[in-house]
Amino acid sequence: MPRERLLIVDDDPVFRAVARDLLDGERFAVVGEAASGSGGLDATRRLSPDVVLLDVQLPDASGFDVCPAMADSGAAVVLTSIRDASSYGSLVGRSGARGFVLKDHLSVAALSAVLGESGPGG
Amino acid sequence: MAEVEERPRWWESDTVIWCVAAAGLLLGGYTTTAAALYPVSDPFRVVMHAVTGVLYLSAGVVAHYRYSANAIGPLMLVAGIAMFAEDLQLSDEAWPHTIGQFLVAFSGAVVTHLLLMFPTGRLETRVQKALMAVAYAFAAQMGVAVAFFMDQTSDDDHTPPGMLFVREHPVVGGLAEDTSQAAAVVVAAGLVVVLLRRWITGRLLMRRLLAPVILLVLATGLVAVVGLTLQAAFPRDGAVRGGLLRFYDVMYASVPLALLAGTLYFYLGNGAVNRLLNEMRALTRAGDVEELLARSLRDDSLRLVHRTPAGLLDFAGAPVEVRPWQAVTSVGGPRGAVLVHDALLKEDPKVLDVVATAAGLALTNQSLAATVEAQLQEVRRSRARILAAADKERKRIERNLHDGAQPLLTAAKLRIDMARGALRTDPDKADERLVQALENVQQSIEEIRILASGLYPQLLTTAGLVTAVRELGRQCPVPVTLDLDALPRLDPLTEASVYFVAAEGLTNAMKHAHATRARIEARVTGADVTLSVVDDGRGGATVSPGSGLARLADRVAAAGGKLTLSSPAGGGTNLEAVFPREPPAPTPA
Repeated sequence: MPRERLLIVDDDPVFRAVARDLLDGERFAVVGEAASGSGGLDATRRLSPDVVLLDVQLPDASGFDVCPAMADSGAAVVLTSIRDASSYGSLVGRSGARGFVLKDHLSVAALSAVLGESGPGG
Repeated sequence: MAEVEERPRWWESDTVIWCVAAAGLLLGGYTTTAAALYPVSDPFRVVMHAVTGVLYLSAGVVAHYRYSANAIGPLMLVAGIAMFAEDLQLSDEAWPHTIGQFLVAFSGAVVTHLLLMFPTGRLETRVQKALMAVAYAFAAQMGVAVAFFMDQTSDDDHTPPGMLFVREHPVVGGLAEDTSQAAAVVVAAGLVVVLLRRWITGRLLMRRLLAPVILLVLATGLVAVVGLTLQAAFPRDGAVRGGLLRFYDVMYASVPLALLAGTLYFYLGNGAVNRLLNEMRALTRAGDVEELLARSLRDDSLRLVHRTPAGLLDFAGAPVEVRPWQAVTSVGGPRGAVLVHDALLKEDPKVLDVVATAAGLALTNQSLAATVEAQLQEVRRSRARILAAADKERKRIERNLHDGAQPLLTAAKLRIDMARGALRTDPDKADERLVQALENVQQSIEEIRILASGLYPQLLTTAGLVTAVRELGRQCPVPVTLDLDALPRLDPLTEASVYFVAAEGLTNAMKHAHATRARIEARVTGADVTLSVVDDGRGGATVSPGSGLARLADRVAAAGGKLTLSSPAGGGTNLEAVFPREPPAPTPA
């Protein structure tokens, strides 16, 4: 089974580095990183990733703002935040994202659980 | 405001007054010369007569300049001319002599007229008008009798016979003299009654005005009675008669001074009004304005009060009664302020108008200053409360970090250190330490998350006001209807305040009011944005000091808005905040 191509969008370089270290492996191949909402949209168009790990709080927009466009391009978007999902009320559910992972709970297993066994787009 | 006289009458003109005064002086020069040349004249009486005439003329001019609409001034000029005209009969020229004969008793009638009109410059009653008519009629009758039948001066060699002199007629002359004397007694008595009545019915202001005139009239009356008694007792003694006549002359000369004193006392000059306005500027209390007005207008009865549905109340709230002799003048200004004062003050409508307007402005200033001061104090208090609340919050966060995340992170660090040390020698122990450290780190993350989530609504930052308020509605266990379509974009400080109003309203509906429904509505009216949270709960909410609602009110006020709470017991709650659409000040990021 081919590895799923993953884009990481977060303005915190430390988190990007840790996430790449943590996730790049048998199931996911990290194909790119972006530090802003616009950068994330740009990278999504350019790289056509299978999965986007999208931070909610970005310097130029919120993850909820850019999520629909990313989802429309066919990527499975997983929102992530240091805050728990209840801080955002129903926005997570209505964002078009596949799911939500707390940053401190991030792991290949957690991400896989959100994406489901069916894989991207399924 | 008091009504101001409309069109000035011809005798109010400066030119007319100066022309008449100049004519009077010319006439005075002529008649004084004639009197001095008259062979049997008493030099004292000649001088006194001239002085009296000049006093009347001067007093007339001064009175005119103090208050031109009062007829007292012009009539004093007429009295001065009449004084001189009497002496025309002493002239050695035929026509002036004849005219003097006609006017021989005229000055007495004019002075009577003056006293009857004093101080208002009007004849108020029919009795006064009748007295004046009698005085003039008998002065005219005396003039006719003298001119035609009683040429008293024709027995000297100095004056020519009157041009109209028919013949000496003792019966007609005697009759004229008797009736004139009788008329003089009637008029004098009437005059005393009129003046005394004015004194008795008048108030303090009127009495002060009248005092010199009344004293003069009474003293003259008293001396006349004593003198006439003496004369009757010693008919041959010329000294009694001469002394009496000289006394009359002095009294006569004092009348214009008494009238002028009263006029100057009553009518405030420009200087006095300017002083009053200057003093008024410095006053900061309504009571001080009242005191200054009473003192300056010389009306002890004057009160500065305000008109209310419950009647006139003074500024301490006590009812004030308008006495029959008082009048009420509106001063404009706040709270329908009016002056209650002696009605006599209306005789000087211009000054009353200026003074009333100035009092209104002073009160308006005082009211504005009081409002600003009250607002300033409230701003100071709310600023202190906001600072206190912020400090309290800082302490809470500081304690929370110290007691929560920091010891956990410290423990984690120590355990990681230990794990490194044991990594090669005892991998199992190292693994155990790392698991413990991981737990500590996870706990500290949770601690910080909980702490941070209570500090500021994340949704407001991430998703904006409308979404954040909608989320509040969704999360509320009570069904909430939202009407936020009218809500415009506002500055961040105001948006946060709007959010907190919605949050507090829903918290109240849910926790305290036990409501079954709530509604959040935004409206734009003019330059204001209103957010209201209405519930159908049990009401009875109050803004108690230190409560969430009190802090919210401060917060709303700091954003330039105003929070109102309507929460009748059993009648639901309406929490409403009105904000200016334009931000009150540049807002922090």
